[in-house]
Amino acid sequence: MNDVAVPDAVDAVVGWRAWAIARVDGRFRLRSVVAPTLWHPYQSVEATCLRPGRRLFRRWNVQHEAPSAGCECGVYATDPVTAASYASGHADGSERRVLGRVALWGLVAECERGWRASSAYPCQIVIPEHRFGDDPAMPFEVLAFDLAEYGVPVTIADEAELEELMRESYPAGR
Amino acid sequence: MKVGKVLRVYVVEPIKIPVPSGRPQQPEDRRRPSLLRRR
Repeated sequence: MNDVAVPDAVDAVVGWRAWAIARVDGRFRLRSVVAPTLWHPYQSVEATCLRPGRRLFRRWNVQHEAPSAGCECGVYATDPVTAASYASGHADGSERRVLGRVALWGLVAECERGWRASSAYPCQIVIPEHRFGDDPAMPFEVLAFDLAEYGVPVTIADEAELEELMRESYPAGR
Repeated sequence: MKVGKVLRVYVVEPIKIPVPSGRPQQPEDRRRPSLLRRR
């Protein structure tokens, strides 16, 4: 993808994704679901390939920028229904997840069912109320307060509201 | 997350990331229900 250099889209791509909730210095923060990447308030996430030895690049051990067509790296976003399926978390409740809209920019690879990008920041965070219940380790109001520090709307949605929100948003950014 | 094969690639201008504003948040703020946003 190194030969792509001319900006041909002005507005950021907006898709949906899930985040796990991590506790950092006593605060609830967003963390990537499949990687240990933390999303900090007021800082964009810049993608790096966490598996540079994977696939095509394994045999040459080549470092590459993310996203790369020959790899699976980059910050992911997809449609709201798929994102919601990833926001279920673990069945035993050991990992809580939220979902929301995310802006992608920089180098953006449009894929069959979503995007992979080099830079990202949340646009909206949705807390699926029905998936949290009354968890004393993660009080609802504290979670919402901490996530509001990202400076984007934080929405608490029950199951019906979440479905409505996804219907309104689909297909997001396409 | 599985998003399938790459169809095309483009370069997008950066967005404006929110910046901190107002007074720093205090620990006691964390339990103010008025700060929650509900649809």
